[in-house]
Amino acid sequence: MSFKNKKGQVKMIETVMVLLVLVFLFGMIMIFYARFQIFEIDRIAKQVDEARADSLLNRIIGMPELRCSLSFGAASEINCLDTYKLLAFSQIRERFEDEFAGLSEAKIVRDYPAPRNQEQCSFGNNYPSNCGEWLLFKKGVSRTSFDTFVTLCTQKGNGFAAFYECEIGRLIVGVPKRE
Amino acid sequence: MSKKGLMLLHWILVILVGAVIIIFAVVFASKTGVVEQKKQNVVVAEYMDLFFNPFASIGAIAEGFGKQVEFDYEVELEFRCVSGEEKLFVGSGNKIAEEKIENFVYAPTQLKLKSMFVFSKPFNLPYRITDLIFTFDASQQFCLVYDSESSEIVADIISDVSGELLEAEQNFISCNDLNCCKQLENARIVSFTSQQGDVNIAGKGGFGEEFEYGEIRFRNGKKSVFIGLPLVEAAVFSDYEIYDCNFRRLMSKVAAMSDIYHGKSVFLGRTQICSYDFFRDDLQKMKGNARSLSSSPSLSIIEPLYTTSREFSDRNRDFSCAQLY
Repeated sequence: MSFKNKKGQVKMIETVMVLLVLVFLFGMIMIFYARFQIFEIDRIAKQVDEARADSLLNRIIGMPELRCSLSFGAASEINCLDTYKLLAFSQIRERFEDEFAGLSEAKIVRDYPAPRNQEQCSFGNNYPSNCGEWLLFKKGVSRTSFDTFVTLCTQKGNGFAAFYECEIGRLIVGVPKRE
Repeated sequence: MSKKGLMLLHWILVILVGAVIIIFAVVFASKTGVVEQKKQNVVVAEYMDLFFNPFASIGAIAEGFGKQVEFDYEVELEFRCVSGEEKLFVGSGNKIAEEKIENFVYAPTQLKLKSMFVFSKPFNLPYRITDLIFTFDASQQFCLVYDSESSEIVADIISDVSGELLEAEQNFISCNDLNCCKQLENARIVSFTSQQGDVNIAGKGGFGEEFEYGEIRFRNGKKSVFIGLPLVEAAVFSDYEIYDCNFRRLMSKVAAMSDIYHGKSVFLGRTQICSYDFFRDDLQKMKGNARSLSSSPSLSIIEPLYTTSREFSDRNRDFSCAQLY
């Protein structure tokens, strides 16, 4: 009798152990699945951030606050940015922060002819030759960046004829690091 | 303990643990379904916002742009004005994703569709301010009621839509009597006469044209104002809440743009021999009017804004030095 009792108890303990192991395995699978889901959501979020930055490149170039108007003639039909508007914009840029939602940084740099320095642009003699970049927006740290070429045109004139001079620049936008 | 008792205990344990595992699995599966749907709605909301971006910049190089969009499944969209910002909600129940819309999208408050038309039109005052984006269900019908004074503007609207979206032309009919519209089921009736429609548009003036600026009355009794054809079109496609929200945002942007041109006029004034003082005066007036309109849309402020913008445009066109725009 006592031997049969012990055998029964052993069998019960066996069953309990098997069930415990099953529950443990099930729990581990759930944890791995949850971790995988979090990883997947993070990956999609990063993809969306990059798609947004890429989409914003074209939107920023088309912004009426920066773009060359019709008075620039044929230049207004390409990726033309008005350097006087850029300067006015950079001086009051905090009012336009909403336009850059989803970015960590947006700036225009002069590329060609090569600038003598990389200083922030401000009005002065020989503007815009006296500087290297216009900061449009800055918030936080960039994880990666996208850029595209733009044409930077400046209206000139002596009262008898109005004309414009253009050079090549780049619009650089930064994708923020996700916390 | 007897053998039978032990067996019973065995089975009780097995059933208990099994039930816990099954309940856990069922709850997990249902929650996963909800999370997946919500994830899908978040992605749709994010990409809808990105989708509108090209429409917001096309006015730089073209008069407008139109497209028909087909979804793989029916989507529920809700546009709302929250604290002065336009927001898009995708989904329903507890699966709603929310996204702030940076562009100016005019649409009915609620849309449930598989196919929609989207087109854009630049808004100028007198220089380009932004592009307005119009969205509507591909199956939505519009009935425009006109009279002799408004026949031209109705023709302009239909021509604008069909110019950007040929497929949408069949969604629009024009009548000179309201009864003709009532034959269409669920058509949105836009009246440019005294007959009452879902939206009533009354032109109050303009240089040589009656509908350069005026008043809009929506079916809920709420009123707003418009300036220029793009805002008339905005009223055709949107409900009061979205129209009013975006109108105020638009006027804030008009004020901000006047600051950009003000800054530019200061810089140009230092490099050119001509004086840009008159431009600065006009810009200050436009900024003041636009700011007032952004807090309180009113016909009494629309008229001076229209007049000043016309004067500014004429001055710029005839200017002998570098033009401001």
